Amino acid sequence: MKIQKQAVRIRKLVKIFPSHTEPVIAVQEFNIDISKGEVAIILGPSGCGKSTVIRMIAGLEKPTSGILLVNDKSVEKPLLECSMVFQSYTSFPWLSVIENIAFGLRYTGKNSSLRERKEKAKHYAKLVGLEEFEDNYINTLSGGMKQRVAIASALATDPEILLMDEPFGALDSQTRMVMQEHLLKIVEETDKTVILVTHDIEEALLLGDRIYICTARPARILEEIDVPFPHPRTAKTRNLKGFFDLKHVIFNLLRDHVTAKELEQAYLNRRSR
Amino acid sequence: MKEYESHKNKRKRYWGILPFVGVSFLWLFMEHVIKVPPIFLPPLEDMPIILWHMFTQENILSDLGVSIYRVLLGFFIAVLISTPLGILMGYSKKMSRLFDPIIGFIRYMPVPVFIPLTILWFGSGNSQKMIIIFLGAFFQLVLMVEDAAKSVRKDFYEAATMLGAPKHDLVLRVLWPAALPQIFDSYRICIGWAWTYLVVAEIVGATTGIGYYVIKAQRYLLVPQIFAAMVLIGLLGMFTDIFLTWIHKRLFPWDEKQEKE
Repeated sequence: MKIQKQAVRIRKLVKIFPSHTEPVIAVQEFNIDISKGEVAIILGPSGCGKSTVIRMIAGLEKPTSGILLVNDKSVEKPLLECSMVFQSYTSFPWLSVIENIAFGLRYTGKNSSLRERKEKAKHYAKLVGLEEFEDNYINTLSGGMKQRVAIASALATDPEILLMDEPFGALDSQTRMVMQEHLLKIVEETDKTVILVTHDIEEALLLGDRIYICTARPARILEEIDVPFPHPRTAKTRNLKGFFDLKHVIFNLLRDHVTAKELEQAYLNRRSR
Repeated sequence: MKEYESHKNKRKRYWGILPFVGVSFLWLFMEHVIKVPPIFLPPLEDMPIILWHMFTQENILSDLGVSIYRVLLGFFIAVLISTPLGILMGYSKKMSRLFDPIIGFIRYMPVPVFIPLTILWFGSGNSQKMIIIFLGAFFQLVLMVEDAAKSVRKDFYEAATMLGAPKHDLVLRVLWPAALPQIFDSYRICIGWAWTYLVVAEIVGATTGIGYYVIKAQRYLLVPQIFAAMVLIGLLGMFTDIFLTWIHKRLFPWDEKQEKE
């Protein structure tokens, strides 16, 4: 077993955003444990506050209350052992693909020369299949390629934990499927802990070892599901019978919840009028 | 697709000449059909001769040179100080709260208002002209650079932070390169205003420079010379602009805004 220790431990996590009218409770009573080497998926409807959870793990937001430990350390600021891939394209347009991938290598603490950094970046460019576009500027790439650069940049610093906040959310569905397979190959090859936030059930099932299903705002854990499909997974995993069954189970769970939530919201809106 | 577009663009590139032709015809129309007296509107046909005369007999090049020197130096000093200050104000809310009011206050004082005072303090030489240009350019530039710095996408900072970049590198390696195209654009726009202030300062009090040349021509009622000097100033500005736009393209091939053009 490669699973030995907790990479992330979250207890009673709460995040409240202050606002002019009334404070928005984005995350409430959130409890999860993510083991080392696990691919954990936080799955939930759009705008449910799941992004807030991963941003807190990353150290980009401060929790209002609760316990949040990464490698048994409390997260005060962004940690070096975490890398993050964002939904928006965050690769720097003023740098070439290879320079983007090498960006974080400057800060890894190993005093490597520019040549060594580029050499290492080349390895990761190859890993995401961009070796032919190393000198391209980001704006010359397609959305899928931009996200591959972002994934390569995040991996290049060799983080223990890879955080991904709806990395394929802005892509069309065909590109998204291709990207999921790209990511699957990468994830299968490494023993990194991966935390992926998504609203795409298939993506969750294809990539995840364990899925945490979230309620709509405020985000709370509705259900935890262990994904039983064997490793190594490939695109063909999508065709397993269990894949469809599990997809339906999750879909029904989310649908009932979302519908109930919508009705409740509509009812509240009517009353407040 | 791209080839087609570039072909279309090539054909339209020289459209900008048409308005010049239009203005020339209007000029000729006023001159020959309406018969505006030459004391108000000198003949267009005489312009080349007058320009030739200005360059060979009146040594207009030295006046132009003096003016260019003043603009460049005054503007350069303004750029040198306003750029770091504007970036600091764009990056840190504290700094922008500290300096925004005073800069907003001084910025609205018309620069020509400073001319009498600066002549009193510094005379009418080069340093007074440069101070006027500095005052005219600096306060505009600071706010424009600040604006450019503020418009840098916030998720770039987050991405860089996640990759391990410390705070000073967020400024040096993210804000600076990300904002530079827009900052450079502010320089291009601002140097035009610097020219205006210089000519005003030279008309009010100077013994050299293109503005002085114009006021001298007015005293002797040399209307053609005034027109020719105006044309020269316009040409100089236009070529500065074309040059800076060209440099912009060379420096920032990755900039999205120009790709759309």
